[in-house]
Amino acid sequence: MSETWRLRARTAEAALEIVRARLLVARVPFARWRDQLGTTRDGVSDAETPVSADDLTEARRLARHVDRAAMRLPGESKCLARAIALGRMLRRRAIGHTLVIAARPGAARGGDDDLHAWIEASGLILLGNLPGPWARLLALHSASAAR
Amino acid sequence: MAISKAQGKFVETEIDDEVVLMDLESGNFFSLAGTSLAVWQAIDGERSEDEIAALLADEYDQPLERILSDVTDFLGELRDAGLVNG
Repeated sequence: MSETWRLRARTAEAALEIVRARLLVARVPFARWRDQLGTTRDGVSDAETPVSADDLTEARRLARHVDRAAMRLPGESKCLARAIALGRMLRRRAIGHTLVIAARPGAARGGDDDLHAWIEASGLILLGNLPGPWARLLALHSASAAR
Repeated sequence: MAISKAQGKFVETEIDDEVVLMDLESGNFFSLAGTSLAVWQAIDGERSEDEIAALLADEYDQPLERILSDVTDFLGELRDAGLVNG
């Protein structure tokens, strides 16, 4: 497969995952898909379980595909749907990551983005990097494959 | 009857003078501040509704009857949301 088609295939994969995530968020109760996003690990921060430099580079590329696909799809693809989509793509490639759901402090609240979700790996935000402050509510971890 | 938080049903985080709860079943968010936060923090699995009201009446120097009404209403909302038992 040529590089161009390989890139298009990734954007198509991202688009499918975004559509799937949008349907999931809109129609299925959170409890039924929460565990698919990862597991909670109290007291263990994402930065303590770093992924390799190669995986981090690949994860950043995939995040760009998700953003590109989201811009091309009709309707709005919100942060949680994008994060779920990237999370599934990373899991498929066994790249460790964390999906974080967070809230703005009350004093800074009042906009459309009072609640936010993003994906991070090795302590770096890969997708959904909005200016804070944010208070983390839920962090769902997916481990890297053992190598 | 003692009121207890429905552990495992939610996650919470403190932000300034507020606690934000996320219901892990529904994905809904709740913001607790002021009196509602004081009630939430008074729920320790041992105090009853009356004891929580008495604690807050003392803390806020307000008549017990008035506080009890507010506490009852708020605990009802928390029960409806499945966030407390008892």
